Amino acid sequence: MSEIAPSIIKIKPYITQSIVLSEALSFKQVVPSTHMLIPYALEKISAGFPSPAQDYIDKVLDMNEHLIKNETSTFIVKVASLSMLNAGIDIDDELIVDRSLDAKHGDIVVALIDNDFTVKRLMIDESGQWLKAENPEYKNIYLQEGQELIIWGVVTHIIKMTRKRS
Amino acid sequence: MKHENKVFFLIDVNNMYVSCERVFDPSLNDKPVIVLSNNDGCAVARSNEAKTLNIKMGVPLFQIKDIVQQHNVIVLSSNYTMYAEMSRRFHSILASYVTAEEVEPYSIDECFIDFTAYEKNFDLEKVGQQMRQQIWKWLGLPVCVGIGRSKTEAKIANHIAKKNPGFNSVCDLVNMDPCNKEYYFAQIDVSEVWGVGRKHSKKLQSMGINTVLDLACAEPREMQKKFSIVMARTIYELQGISCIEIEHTPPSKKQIVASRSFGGRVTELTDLKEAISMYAQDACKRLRDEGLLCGCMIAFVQSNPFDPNVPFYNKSVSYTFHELTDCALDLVKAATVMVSHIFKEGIKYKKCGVVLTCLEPKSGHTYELLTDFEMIEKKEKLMKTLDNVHTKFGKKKIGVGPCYIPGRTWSMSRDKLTKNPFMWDELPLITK
Repeated sequence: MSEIAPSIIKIKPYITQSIVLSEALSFKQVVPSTHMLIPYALEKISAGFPSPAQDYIDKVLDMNEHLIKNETSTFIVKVASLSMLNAGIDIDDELIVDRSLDAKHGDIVVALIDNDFTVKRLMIDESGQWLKAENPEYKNIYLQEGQELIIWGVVTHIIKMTRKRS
Repeated sequence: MKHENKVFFLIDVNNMYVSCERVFDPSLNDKPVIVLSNNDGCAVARSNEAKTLNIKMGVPLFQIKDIVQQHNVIVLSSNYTMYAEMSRRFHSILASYVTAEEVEPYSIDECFIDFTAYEKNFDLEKVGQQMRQQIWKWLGLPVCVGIGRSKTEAKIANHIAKKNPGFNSVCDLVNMDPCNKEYYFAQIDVSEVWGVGRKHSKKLQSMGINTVLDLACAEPREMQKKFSIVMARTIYELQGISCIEIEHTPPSKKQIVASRSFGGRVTELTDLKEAISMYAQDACKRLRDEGLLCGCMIAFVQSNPFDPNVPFYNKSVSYTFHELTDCALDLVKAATVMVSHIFKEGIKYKKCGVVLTCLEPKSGHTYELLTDFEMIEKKEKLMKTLDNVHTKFGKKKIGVGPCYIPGRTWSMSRDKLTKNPFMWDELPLITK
């Protein structure tokens, strides 16, 4: 029971202590940082005996570096459509979009059709370019006469929350 | 210093604010769009469609109400946070073409590049096209590129690229046939020349100098007698002789001004105090970013100068700090005391603000003998903590006084503000 007690109870004794001004001014600095670093295991984790490499954890994982190859051309958008559900893209997922990449056949792209955003799989064949929906309840997009397909950017990663937000 | 064989690029985003808005809301494409200044007052950016409706730069919204209604012009508040991030990316792409000494971010949407060292190895127009295409692809921003033997010439080249679609947004005056160059120079009004402006163009016109070509053919030394050395330099620059170098470090600031007009009508002293405490904190942030200390502060209040029914009230007062400071507590305290001195009852205030002067670099400052160093250290620790909280959580999360609590009567009105696509809870939505 004591383990799940709200942390305010642990803090409480400190609050009631009278704080001298000089102490209040020696706050620890909040270090602003965009890097969240996680130690990177050099060897794959194998069950059984401990890896001899475990003492040599000298690299760190940087999520920014991992997810964003080109900071200048990368944007993040939020999904509000179910048309790519079978490609693993659900409502409220966030997409990392790199505009500097050239879209290839099979890439998931954010595109503009009639000045409207859409996320689909880009298909390039003899008939030209078309957009494939990854959900049978949604239609593929084939360009009509006079319609233009503009690739806004190539989706490189999906950020998906796997727990319900509380 | 005069140089004859330099090469300058000027890259400039077309209708910057509108173009930024269109990147994240493509439904604005092909429609007339204007972006308003602070407090939704005047049109400060116009799409080409809005320009063809004869909406002039800087016109107040109320004067164009009919055009806006009749043509369904889309009206937006200025989203400076978003434009600043797009501007940072624009400048960082261009910085990758040359070394740090050869690039000068001239304004939010303009960038000079000194390309002299690379001229022999590159086709200048191709480089310009590459820059244009890269910025369009990576950021979705349309730009024009002007190339010339001087900064002034690069500016004119940019103007030519903008006005003549045949150039495909890139105009290279360095390799242009001289006859063609004369033809274009003869078409452009002299007031378009960088540094000439409306003030000098009247005098120039009275002397029979009406176009860029006329000015380029003028005799620099004689013009220097009639105007100043600046005009002589401009003429040399138009003749392809560079006199103005790339500026790397902007000269240290002489003063810092933080002021804004109010969204609502302000008559109470408490509201004025809240507002001025925020501007003092804004000024403090800039002071600290520049690594400066402030010796003197001016506070001012104003009523609406355009209200014909009541006389214009405009008062200011200054205060000298005993010890130079860059601590928000000192600045806010001084500002709020000063504003209560110049406050008069029964006035409808439209604007207030602070000016920081007597600025000195913090690094070179010598403190007085009897300085209370313990106090200075305490303040510095507090300010460092505040700075770090601001960097990590945003500047509105903690402050001196209640000024950052939303819904103040004096806060700016920005009714048609778009979302900030660089914030987690305001990302662009893909709905299809």
